[in-house]
Amino acid sequence: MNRRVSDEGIDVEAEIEAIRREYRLLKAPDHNLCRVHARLREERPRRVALPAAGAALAATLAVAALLLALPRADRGETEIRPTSLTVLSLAAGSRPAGAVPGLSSMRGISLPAPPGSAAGAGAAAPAPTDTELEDLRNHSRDEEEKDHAKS
Amino acid sequence: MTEPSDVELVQRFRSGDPEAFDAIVRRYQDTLYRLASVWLYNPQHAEDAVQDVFLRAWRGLRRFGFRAAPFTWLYRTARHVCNEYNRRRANEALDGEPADPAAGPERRVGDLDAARRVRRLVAVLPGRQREVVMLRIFEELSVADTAQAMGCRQGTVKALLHKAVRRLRENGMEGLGE
Repeated sequence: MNRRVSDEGIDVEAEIEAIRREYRLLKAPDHNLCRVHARLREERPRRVALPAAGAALAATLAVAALLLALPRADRGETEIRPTSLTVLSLAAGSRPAGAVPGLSSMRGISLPAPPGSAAGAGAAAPAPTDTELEDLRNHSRDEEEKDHAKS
Repeated sequence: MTEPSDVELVQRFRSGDPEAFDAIVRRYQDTLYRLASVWLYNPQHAEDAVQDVFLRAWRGLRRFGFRAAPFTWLYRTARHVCNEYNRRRANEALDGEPADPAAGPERRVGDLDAARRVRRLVAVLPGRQREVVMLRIFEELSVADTAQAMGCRQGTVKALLHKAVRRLRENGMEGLGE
């Protein structure tokens, strides 16, 4: 920068340099890092609590979704009980289309495949034949009758 | 032993080294505090704002994509945080509680004077020229670092600086001696 004097007779560069020197003396307070740590500690418990609450809510919603989906599973062309589909999936060695991993083993049901999805079109597992469905339906009916007789 | 670069520190922090985060804070807390002092004109708010920036850094740098330099990220976050503070303060003033720039501990009065003189100096400059003067002259950043922080080319930084200095010579020094 060339040294220039303004109309008021102020040496501009010298003045800027003086301000700059004064400005560079500004420092963050010594306790700044400690305060950052303290505030991080204050925030962490809240941040940890939130995912736990979120997971509980997600689990509740998943159960609610399952309960809502149950009647839909019965609305198919053939009257398929949820247990039948589970047994079928085990027999086929794969999950039926639209099944939710983990949930079927827990509740003995699986969700219907979304309409028009690739999985629903039979990409994941071969569709059961009428004979197979009939066998399974008879099988689960027998099982129920046995349970009923026992009780 | 050479100091680790900003990128190295961020990488170490992301891989779980909390001391790397402390090193980032120590490296940039003064710069951010000075900038916040000028932008906010209130030492207490500047202190709080700088802490806010580092709290955001704790979360944000974990997902940092290295598309920009870490300082650029900190600088832009600081500017954003200070804008939020100023907006909030403006609303408080409208609600009948005028902001007191001298609020804060006694030891910060000197800081306020330094911030006031810089504010007065750059007040006559348009936004981009003000920013380039703050970074290039007062923070002594290189042209390349200034350009990166401002998100423009190095030639633009040089041109803005040239215009800013010319403008300061013409009319920017009024009232500085007060």
